[in-house]
Amino acid sequence: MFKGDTCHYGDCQRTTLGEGDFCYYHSANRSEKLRGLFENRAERQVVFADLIFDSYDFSATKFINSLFSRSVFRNVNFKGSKLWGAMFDFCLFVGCTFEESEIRHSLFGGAKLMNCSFKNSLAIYSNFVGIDARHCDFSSSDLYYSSFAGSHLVETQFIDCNLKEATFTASTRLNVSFRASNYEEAHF
Amino acid sequence: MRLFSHFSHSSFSNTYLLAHEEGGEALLIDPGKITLELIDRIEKHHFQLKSVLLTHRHDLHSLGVKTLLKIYKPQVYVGAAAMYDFATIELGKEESQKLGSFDVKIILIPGHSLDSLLFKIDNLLFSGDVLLAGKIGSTNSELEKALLIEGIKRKIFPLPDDLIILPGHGPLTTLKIEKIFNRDLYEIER
Repeated sequence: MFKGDTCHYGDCQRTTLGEGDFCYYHSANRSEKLRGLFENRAERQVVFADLIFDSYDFSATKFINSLFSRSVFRNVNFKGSKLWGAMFDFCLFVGCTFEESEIRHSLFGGAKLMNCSFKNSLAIYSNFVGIDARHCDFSSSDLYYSSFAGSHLVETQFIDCNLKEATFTASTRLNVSFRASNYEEAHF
Repeated sequence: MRLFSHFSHSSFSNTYLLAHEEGGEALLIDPGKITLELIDRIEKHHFQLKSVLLTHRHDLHSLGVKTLLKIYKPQVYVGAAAMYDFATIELGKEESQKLGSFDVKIILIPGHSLDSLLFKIDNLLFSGDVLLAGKIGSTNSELEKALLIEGIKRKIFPLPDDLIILPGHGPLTTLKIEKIFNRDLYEIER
């Protein structure tokens, strides 16, 4: 998991990636963890509003209080990331994965999500108000106190989720499954 | 300015700590429950807690004040002083006031409770139980509900769309999201 340490190579002060001791430039495999302009910037309090992210890998990356409003994300990998207080309001997500991520106090209000996976994630205390989610999967996630009020959910799965104090009021749901979830503790 | 959000698992309510800088003046909004985590946060950053703002007189939002007053000596600002059994300062008028070193715009919107106040500081709106993510606060009658909705539309809607709303319960939201997706606000029109 991302530790936020600095690279151990010489006097390089770049941030390390994943479990390694070295940054992107000095890691052994130099995998495409972060590309282009965003290399080594994806850590704390970044402002990336109104941008297009195509096939970026933000896995195991930590974003705190970061702003991504109105951006487009296509095939972006947020697997294992930590999104604390991140603002994704009115964004478009297509084919993105947030599996095993830790999402707290974040804002997805008004976003459109297609074929996105949040499986096994911790998505607590977050705002999904008014989202338009199609073919998305929140299965095995903890959605404690998150709000999906006014959302439009199509072919979306909430199987085996913790929905305690979650809100789905005024939402429209078409072929949505809450199987094995504690939906009786949510607000519909 | 730094904002910290605290969630109480016993009252399901939010407490917000707002401070200028390390060791600077701080204010606390709706201390429903005082936790060690909250005290640690104040002490760790050496914040000078000068003010406590209460959005309304419901225990979930004000019960921690008495505990707090045993540790610190803040001024407690409320909507209706007569409703409390500890010393408070009443904010009866809708105006911008300097509370300590914070410029606070006070907005009064009854409906959820008669003394409901909202506090706007910079682009943050602490909305108590007036406006929450995707819904409005609970009311006891249709008349109070209409009063609440009318107050939100008249006093909050003219504010900037990117205003960040920090409610007394649940996740944060923005004014733009609420204007578009909060169907409670349009219930009466339907």
